[in-house]
Amino acid sequence: MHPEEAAAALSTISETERAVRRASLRWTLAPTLVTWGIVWIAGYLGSLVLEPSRGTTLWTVLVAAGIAIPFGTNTWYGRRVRSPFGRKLALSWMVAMFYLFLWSFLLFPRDPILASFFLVTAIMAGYVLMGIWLTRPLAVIGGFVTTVALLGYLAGPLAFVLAVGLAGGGALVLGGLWLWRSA
Amino acid sequence: MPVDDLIHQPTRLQLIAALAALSVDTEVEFTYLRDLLRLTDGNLATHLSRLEEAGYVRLRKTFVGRKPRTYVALTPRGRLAFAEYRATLERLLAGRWPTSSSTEVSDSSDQTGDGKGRSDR
Repeated sequence: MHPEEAAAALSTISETERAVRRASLRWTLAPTLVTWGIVWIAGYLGSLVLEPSRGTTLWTVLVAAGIAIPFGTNTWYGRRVRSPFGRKLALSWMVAMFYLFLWSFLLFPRDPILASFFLVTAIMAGYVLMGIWLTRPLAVIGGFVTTVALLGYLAGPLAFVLAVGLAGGGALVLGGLWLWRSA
Repeated sequence: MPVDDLIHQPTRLQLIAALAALSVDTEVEFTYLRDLLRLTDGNLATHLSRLEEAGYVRLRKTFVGRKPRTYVALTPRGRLAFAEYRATLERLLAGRWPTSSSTEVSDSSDQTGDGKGRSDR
């Protein structure tokens, strides 16, 4: 065998591995990012203009959609690619989210901004960790949203809501669309 | 040590590489591989059959409702064969392997060794 043929075969292997990775990101992470980006934009901006009771209803509906839509796309993909690793990763995220919501309600029951800051940055810590292990763009998104949330929190409640709603939610939507298009 | 001709064929190489890129014990639907690699049903079935005969992949047929579904998984033997194949190519490129007949493919039935046989998709 000539080295050129060996190089071509190795190139085929690399391209195939990339295609598998892109397909996975396209059908799992991209819909999740876009959905939660929209949830954040609608939720934070909506809570600025709605009465508190209606804001709570809005968030309840949005969070339900934020759980249901990625669950649907991930389940569809999970039927095509049945992976013990994927199931464990999804289960780990659900457990982490349950504890994060529990802690935020118990620790900051009377401070929705602090509770929100805690939730947003804790979830973004998960994105950064997943970025380290799985795909770098997630780490970039996680780092960016954490920075935006921190600056917004330091600037005051209104700045926090606008920063996380517009910049944070926008970053999630754009990141998800980028993952979708690059796949 | 010859290169494994069963893996070296381009379509089968893509198939095995796709399965090996997934975590151990992952199985994928037949249509997933077909769409990912842009193959026809018949072409994919033919290549999978050869890989199954060699013990490199495992096929599992099941029903979801009334629809038949076929899942494909790489066996430990297939994973090992792919790792050895890849290592052989890397050794060859690193110059640790002579470019003489010692790296010719093991079976020339659909390979010429000069790349011309790599188009039987």
